[in-house]
Amino acid sequence: MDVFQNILMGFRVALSFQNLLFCFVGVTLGTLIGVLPGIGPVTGVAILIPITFGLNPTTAIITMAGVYYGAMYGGSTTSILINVPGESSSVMTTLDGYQMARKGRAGPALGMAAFSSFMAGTLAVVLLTFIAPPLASVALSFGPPEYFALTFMGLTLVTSLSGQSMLKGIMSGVFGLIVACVGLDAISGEERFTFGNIYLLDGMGFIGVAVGLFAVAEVLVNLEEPMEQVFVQTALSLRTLFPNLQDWKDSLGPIGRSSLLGFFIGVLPGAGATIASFMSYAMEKKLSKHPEKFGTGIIQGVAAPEGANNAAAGGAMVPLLTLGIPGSGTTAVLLGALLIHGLRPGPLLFQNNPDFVWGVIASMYIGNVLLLVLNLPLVGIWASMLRVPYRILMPLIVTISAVGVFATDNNIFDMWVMFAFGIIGYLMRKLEFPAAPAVLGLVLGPLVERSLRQSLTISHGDLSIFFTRPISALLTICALLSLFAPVVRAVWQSRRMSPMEMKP
Amino acid sequence: MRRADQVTGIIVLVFSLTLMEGSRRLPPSATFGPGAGFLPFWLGALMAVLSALLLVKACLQPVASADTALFPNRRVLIPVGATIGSLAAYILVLDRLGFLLGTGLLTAFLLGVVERERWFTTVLVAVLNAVGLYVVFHLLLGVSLPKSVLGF
Amino acid sequence: MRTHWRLSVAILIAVGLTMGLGNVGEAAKFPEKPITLVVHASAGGGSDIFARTLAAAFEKEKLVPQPIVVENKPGGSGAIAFAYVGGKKKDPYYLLTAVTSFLTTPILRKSQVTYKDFTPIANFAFDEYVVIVRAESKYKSMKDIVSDAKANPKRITVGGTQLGSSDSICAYLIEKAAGVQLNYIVFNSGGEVNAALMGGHIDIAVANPGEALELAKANKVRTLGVFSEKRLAGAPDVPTLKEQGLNAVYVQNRGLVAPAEIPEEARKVLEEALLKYTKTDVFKKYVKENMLSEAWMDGSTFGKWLDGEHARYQEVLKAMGLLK
Repeated sequence: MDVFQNILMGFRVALSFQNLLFCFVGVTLGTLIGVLPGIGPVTGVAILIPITFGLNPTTAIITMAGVYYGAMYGGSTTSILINVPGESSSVMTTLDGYQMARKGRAGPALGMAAFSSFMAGTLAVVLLTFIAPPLASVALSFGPPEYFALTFMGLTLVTSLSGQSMLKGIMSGVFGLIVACVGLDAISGEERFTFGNIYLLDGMGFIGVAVGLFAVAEVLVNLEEPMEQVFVQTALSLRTLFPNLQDWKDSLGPIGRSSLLGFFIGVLPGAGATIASFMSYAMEKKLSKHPEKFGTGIIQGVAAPEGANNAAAGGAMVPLLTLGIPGSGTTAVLLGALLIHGLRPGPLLFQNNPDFVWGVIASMYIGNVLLLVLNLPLVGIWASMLRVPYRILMPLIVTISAVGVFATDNNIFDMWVMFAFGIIGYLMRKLEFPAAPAVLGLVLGPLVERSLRQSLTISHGDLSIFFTRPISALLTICALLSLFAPVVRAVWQSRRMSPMEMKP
Repeated sequence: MRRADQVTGIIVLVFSLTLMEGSRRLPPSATFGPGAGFLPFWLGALMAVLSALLLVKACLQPVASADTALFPNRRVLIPVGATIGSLAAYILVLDRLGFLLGTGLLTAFLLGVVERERWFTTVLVAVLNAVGLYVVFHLLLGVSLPKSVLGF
Repeated sequence: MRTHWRLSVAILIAVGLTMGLGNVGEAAKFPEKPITLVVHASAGGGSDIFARTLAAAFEKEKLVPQPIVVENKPGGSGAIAFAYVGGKKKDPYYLLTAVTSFLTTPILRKSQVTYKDFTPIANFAFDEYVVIVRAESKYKSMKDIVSDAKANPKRITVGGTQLGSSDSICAYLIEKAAGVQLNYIVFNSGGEVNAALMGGHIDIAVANPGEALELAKANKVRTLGVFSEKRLAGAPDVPTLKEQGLNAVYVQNRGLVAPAEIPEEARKVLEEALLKYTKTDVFKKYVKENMLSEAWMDGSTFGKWLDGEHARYQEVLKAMGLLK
């Protein structure tokens, strides 16, 4: 069957009045859910399951998929405006997005986040349309050793996320890895550092830690400054609200690269949007001619992670639709929703229910356009929110952080996690430890440890498993190079420096 | 930063050693490969080395180099402490106060006492904030927010 | 400055007043307010979908005059939800989803709260389990697996989600019945297990029939056997493990429990409403789509069944070396 014919058929399905309407409802709800911290696309889709009972399956899934990628658009909003990551996948957006907002450039940051999301989202759907089945089989070739190599490589990026002091950056990353050890050991089921507390069995809640380290710490730091100076105010005009030509020039490359990277990581069932955003940010920093500018509020630092997380959301649909394997928490819920509607995703879905599959894929093109149209006018509204005096904004940030963290799993303990990491984050800021490596460690730590131990259990403890498989070998070597390159370069440079210039 | 780094180095070093000690109760190896205690132990060891490095680096720094105090203005600690304290109190009693009242009171405290905002603005923002969050999270998205003993 | 002090005092007084007030009022006719159905797992999982399907059907068919509100309390393999609902003694406005973890988690974690701290309300269905291998696998039947496992102990890899979970118990039952040793590999989710199986990174996996048969139809995997007493109605050509000489039978139950010591009248109301629910089209469709086996048990039958299963799990988990 011809792909073009299929997608045309899909558009006929998706462009019906009912499907268009529900696609709009879905992406709007998704944007809202994305904007609110704590409540993520998983919860959003789950809420919709009973509501969409009466609809036909195609309309229902169009709505839910809309919530999913809509949340990726919305997630950047609070990250940029008030340093509160809306979803775990938008933690990286806080680094440069919030700095841009402080400099009075919230508009361009939000605008570029929307454009980047749109372009990456659309590119992901194009790839989904044309090369889903072959990609799915590539994803299947990733076993535990490949995941280990990939996540280990991700971990070596810590060095590129550290700020002034490499030592403090690495310490922060190791701290994140240590925090990740808390909870039930995934492999043996033993309790690690839970102190008999049942709330610690699943480890420290990621949202609680991230909101504490970023949002609460930021509020505390700002209390020391005169409130008027937190945000530079700029006149609201079309010129200051949208990215300028230079912004575009700077962003197009990162958007393209991060879309491809994000999409591929999204296709892998064991990774996801959060890892994709981390890796794309770090990759852009490595490729940049001015890596030192990352974290000070540059547009690439917003464009890359936002592109990556949207592309990853599209990528996660590949294993779901072609193999019936959910690649992320949200697609797992989508799978459940499909079952309720009597559709079982799997290799036969494309054959047995082509109007459904292509209808949903076509709706994702439409949904991305709707989201762009919806989000661009919102940029002005959000940006003008920063004209509210910070004095008044501060209690709002604290309370929305707290309720968002609570809403993640409906428990108050997560608020204590946020509280503790708020204080830790504040101290880290005062002592000039960067927070991003800690979050990276927390996200990747469990994946690295699990895949390492899975691999060694499979190979009966033989380390050669990492080097005898081509993909794993390649990625492991890249990881080792990435780990030792800065050291080698530092040694090289210090050799070339004359002793006079050397500082103790 | 010199003195601060020294203190941090020592605290983190103690923390790392405690972690290593705690990890020894967990099995270092499984049937094949590392066990539950492997990673925490070696992370502790790595952290110990890093903190020792930080300590040494800080000690080698010349004392005369422009050393800024961590809290140049000690009076800022009052609002910081008040914010931390009120947040802790909020989490502690949220279960019994209920979301609406608790959030309203926390907002009012942060605005009225920490930020010294005017009475009228304080009350207005507190009410709007609590009700607004309640409407969005509870009524719209169905999150079961904590209720007070009075049932709201 | 003075006004700020006054404000602080006012806030303190308000805090004190609200906390001082106790619980007022007695229950009249049950239910007079919404019932909370606590799900022990995250939104979107099997139990969550079960709960949300039930809540929606209750609303649609008006099985009780009040709505049922689904609340997720995930974490610690159910431990958080068990402690939460277990602490609501005598309160009939809470229900809890009860599957295998309802029994196994308290055993594994040696929790204070056990299944004895709840009132069994009803059981609805059983989840079945099948053994799958990838389509290209050299194993054509359970016999092939057993003889290979005898020749190469701990070499055949089985994918699963957690030690102590249903799939790990299934793997153990095969080991015990055949007298062999397998190599259990833990993944993050059932989806990742299936991906690893199809990619050839593990040899066998244990899955629910719904997903397994769909993958089998597409010729991605082969189903070698089912852990039930009799062949499944939806898959008559898949032999049971028993037929193949392996005495390994296993199901996971799907039931609901309430806190301990709830009023008898409330328990009856719930039980009757739930029995009516099992007669609805929504439930029939749910069972069929997920290839569950209907298994209605009323409160007292369910209670006795739980007693038996608890003793069995205690024994199995001990034999698996998970109890210290």
